[in-house]
Amino acid sequence: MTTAIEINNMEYSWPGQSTPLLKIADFQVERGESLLLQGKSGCGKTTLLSLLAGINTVDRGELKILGKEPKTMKPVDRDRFRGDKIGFIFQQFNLIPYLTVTENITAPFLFSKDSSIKADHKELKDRAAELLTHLDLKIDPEKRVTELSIGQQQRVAAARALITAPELIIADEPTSALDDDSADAFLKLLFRETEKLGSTLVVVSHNRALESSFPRVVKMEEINV
Amino acid sequence: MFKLALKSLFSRKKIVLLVFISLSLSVLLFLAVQRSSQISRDSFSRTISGTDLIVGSRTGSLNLLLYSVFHMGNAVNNIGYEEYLALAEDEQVEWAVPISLGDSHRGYRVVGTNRLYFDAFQYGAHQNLEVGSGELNFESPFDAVIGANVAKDLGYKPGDSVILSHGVGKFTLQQHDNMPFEIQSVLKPTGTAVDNGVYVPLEGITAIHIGWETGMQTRTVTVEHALTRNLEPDSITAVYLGLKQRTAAIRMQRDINNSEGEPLTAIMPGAALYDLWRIMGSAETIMSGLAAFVVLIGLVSLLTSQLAVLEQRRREMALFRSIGATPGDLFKILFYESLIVTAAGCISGVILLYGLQAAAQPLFRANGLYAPWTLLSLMEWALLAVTMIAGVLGGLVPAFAAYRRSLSDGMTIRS
Repeated sequence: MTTAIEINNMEYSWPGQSTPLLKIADFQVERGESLLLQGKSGCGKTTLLSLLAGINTVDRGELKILGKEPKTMKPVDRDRFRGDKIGFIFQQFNLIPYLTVTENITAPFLFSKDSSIKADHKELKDRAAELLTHLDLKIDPEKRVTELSIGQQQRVAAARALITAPELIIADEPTSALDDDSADAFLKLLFRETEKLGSTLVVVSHNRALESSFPRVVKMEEINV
Repeated sequence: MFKLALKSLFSRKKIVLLVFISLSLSVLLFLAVQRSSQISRDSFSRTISGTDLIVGSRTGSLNLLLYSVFHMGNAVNNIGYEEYLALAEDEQVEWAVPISLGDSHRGYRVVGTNRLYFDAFQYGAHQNLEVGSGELNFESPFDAVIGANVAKDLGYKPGDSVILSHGVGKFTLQQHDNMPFEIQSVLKPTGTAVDNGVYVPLEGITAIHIGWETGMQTRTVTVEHALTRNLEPDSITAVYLGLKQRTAAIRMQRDINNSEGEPLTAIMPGAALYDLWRIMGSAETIMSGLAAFVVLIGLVSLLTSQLAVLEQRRREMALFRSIGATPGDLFKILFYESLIVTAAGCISGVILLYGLQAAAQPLFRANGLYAPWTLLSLMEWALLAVTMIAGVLGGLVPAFAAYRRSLSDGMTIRS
């Protein structure tokens, strides 16, 4: 069993920067782990996320996601790998405004290489409906997502992140647009569903209130030297 | 991904609809310019054939062609009837048909001529006129033969009587109501100006103008009185000539144009038409050029609208990236969007073209133009292809912009 995330002596700087923005000597996340990555804004959280996603690749050192090194993959393969293996949830505006709930949830399959699932619309619909039930969402799946409340939208976004049964789920400030109660409920659902899938969950947030919910909390300042 | 592009376009209905309308209209204009020039060329070319020379009073060759054949505009002067008689006697001439214009019936031109007209006149690919209904009686001065459009539009049939008006136009004309004509037959449709004509014998034209010698009606005469008079006309408008040898036409034309007697102009219809095309051709080129620019403007407005919303769509693009879309996928989505709008504009432009042709059909008919319902011509397909290619090339611009931007944005918007 490989690790979900493994970083060794990694360095990254944006083009034109002289000193590296990120310099992480050693950081690992085991499979199935739930982790809170905490840090103030501007500390390189977003940059780290884009490295984990394979949008950008490290300058030096090693970064492995689910046993693979994005740097050695072709850009197209990195994109497909991200689509198939990693689920993302963002802070807000997580959904494509002109698509329905179902269409949003099943959107990852638009770009997936896995054409067998892609072709089966019935199967996709059923999976989306199932996820909606799991996430306690009683909404019309044919509704436009713009008609939903923020809380509902975040759950639809979670459903979309879960539908590919990804091995790694990365949530970037997923609760900051929600009030405390909804945030709590949302996190609970997220834990439950990732546990069911046996996936690894990494939540990135500056919110200290979340700390108590996670078995492991890592501060950016601790790993980024 | 095609569906995604469609849905994305639908989410921007208003702007996309406006761009679509401007594209449709510009494609329509592009095609309509082409088609109307084709229609006028075809109709003009098919209106007269087998006539080697047309002789009228001294005037421009185009003018003579337009009024004598297409009934457009008016003759400045008439020619003496004796000139016609002399031409008919000429040994090179096989047949000579006199034409006398100047009167009308409810907007349709009256053509004074003789029986020979119906045998000698040819249109299209040397087709003769044919009688659709009734008998081709043209002996009595008050017989009338009418073209197919006249019969259809006014509901006339053989046996009806018609009253001619003095002069041409639709309203407030003085009527020759003292001498009605009786319709003897209706000609079969030809798709030429012939269909819009009312044909009466020259003698009839003379008869109704008794008492009009000053140009105004000074006295009223009865039919009976008129028939006692010599009804041979003093003058006519033009003469159609068929020659025994077509090759003699050029020399004969020169001879007539240089003759010492009454000032005459002779034209060869084909050559005069060629002059007409030359004049029309440059106008058409300008029109086509302008239409092409209008299409270009339509495409630029598509480009503008796509680029303008690109900024607002950065979030959307970043999301697509996060769920596995490659920059190439985003390129495709944007490219499909432009393609869909351009193709829809082309298709609707074609539909509008046929709609316009249907709407303009009465106008074509009234002017003796022949506008058949044809499929898209090769030229029209080419124009559509040019539009599509331009649309595709234009569509590459926002698509490439999205591609570039998604490379730098990734999953998050960097400003």
